[in-house]
Amino acid sequence: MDVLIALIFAAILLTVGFVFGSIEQRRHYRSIKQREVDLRDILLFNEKHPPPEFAGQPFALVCGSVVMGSDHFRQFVAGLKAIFGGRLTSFEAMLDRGRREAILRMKEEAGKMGAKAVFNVRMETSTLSYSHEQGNGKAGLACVELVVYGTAWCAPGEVKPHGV
Amino acid sequence: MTARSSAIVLSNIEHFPGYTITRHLGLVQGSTVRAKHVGRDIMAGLKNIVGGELKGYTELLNESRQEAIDRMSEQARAVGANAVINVRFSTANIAAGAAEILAYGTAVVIARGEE
Amino acid sequence: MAFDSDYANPEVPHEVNVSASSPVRDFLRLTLGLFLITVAVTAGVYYAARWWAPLIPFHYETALASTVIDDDAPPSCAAAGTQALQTLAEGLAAKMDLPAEMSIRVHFSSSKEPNAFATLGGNIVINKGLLTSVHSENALAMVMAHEIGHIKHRDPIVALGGGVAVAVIFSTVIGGADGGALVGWAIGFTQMSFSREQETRADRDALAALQGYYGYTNGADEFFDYITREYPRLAQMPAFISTHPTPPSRLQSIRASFSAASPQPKPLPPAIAQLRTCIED
Repeated sequence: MDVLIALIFAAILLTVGFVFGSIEQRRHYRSIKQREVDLRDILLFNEKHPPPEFAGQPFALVCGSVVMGSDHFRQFVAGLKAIFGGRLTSFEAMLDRGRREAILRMKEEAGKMGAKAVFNVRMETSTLSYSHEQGNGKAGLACVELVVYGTAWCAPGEVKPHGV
Repeated sequence: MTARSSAIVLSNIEHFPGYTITRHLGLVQGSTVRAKHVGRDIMAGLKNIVGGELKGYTELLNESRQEAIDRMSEQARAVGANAVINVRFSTANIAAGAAEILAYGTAVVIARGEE
Repeated sequence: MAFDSDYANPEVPHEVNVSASSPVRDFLRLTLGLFLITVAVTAGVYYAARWWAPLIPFHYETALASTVIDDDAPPSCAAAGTQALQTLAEGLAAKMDLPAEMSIRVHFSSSKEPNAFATLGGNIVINKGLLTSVHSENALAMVMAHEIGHIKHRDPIVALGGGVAVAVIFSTVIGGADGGALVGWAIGFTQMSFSREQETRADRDALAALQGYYGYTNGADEFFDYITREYPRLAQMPAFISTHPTPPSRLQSIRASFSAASPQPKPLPPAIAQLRTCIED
């Protein structure tokens, strides 16, 4: 009986996770695509040397970050997949939209200082664990922080709200 | 070159066209260990059913990163620098629910103009 | 070199980083695969455990049984009757070539269900319901010898082995079943039913024992005859569904062993017959 209740509870969690997770994913992607269009003017490079055109222009460190979690259903599917190995496709979307979101946040920050481009862009991914999963020995919930940072440069003749 | 003498300029690159680094003052770093509080953890646990961004954690880590940067800047100021270049970040899980954010770079005195 | 003409961020195809596969299809495929693997593993472990179980020395089985079977003294009204049952069982067992270390212990239960069962450690339980539904000692001896046959072939420990194997796999898959519940579940498994081969073999051994004990088998069919009459639905159950051979086919094979010129079956000894009126205090 306890097992049955646990199974029903798990099934509800999975369904809720799948339905709302899918809705939220679609909405997030729509927002990402829109903002990517809006922020197209700020260019990103991970080269270390800004071109001489930027000589003497203001620059500053800019950073964007986001902590993403996977929904219960995709988490569960990934857990099953991990038994057999292979691509964990259900985590791909989570990481993809997290990274694009972090890039957009960095771009927004660069936009605020009037930057034209961001150089030496670096991306980092780190996993976070949280306390209650250790307590009952559950498999770790997927929870990752995606950080993107770089040095934003203003182009000549552009406004410089702050900076060097 | 800065509005306020105390503002430290940060960058993660090393070569700045149109600027000259006049003094290199060595490694500076700032770090902070932050624990999430229970309420945030529970909210994040609930949010994890549906997935997506865990806003509580994003804010927490952003605050931590800002604090690490502020501490690094304080060190830079103390050694008489006006900028920290080649800044790097690193995040590590110290224990369940506690994360260390580290920021480090080279403190320099930088001035506009080619040599 | 001009920044505007030499530097650009053209649109990149972001889709390459995300597989198009649907998580629901993955889920169904993986769940089905996992289910089939679990079934295959369970079946494998089940049969392996059943094969291995008879290799457990009988004294281990007895020790295990003593931890789960309560060995209370019978109610005062059943003391003499239980002793008579024990004597009958020992007489039958003497004709059945039991391994040297194997001993039979009979218990009386006041349950009204017409039944008897063999369980771990050579323990046999005779229900009051069985005694009220037979008139001759031969019929009772047939059922008893049948149960001794199960014990001789280690059928209860085989069933326990299978039960434990299935219980362990299930608790691993589902997770969370505690040890006590697991043991109870596995023990329950031993009392459910034996395979048809095991039942047929026990019947064969029982008839041989009766032949040796009484010199004839006549009267051995009484209990199965009673079951056929009282529980016709059970009797009609197709043989391949029920693990017990259906009473009609059982009756046939029992009656086939009867000899034409043989004495009437013995009545139940008074001490045993008296058990019918025993009410547990």
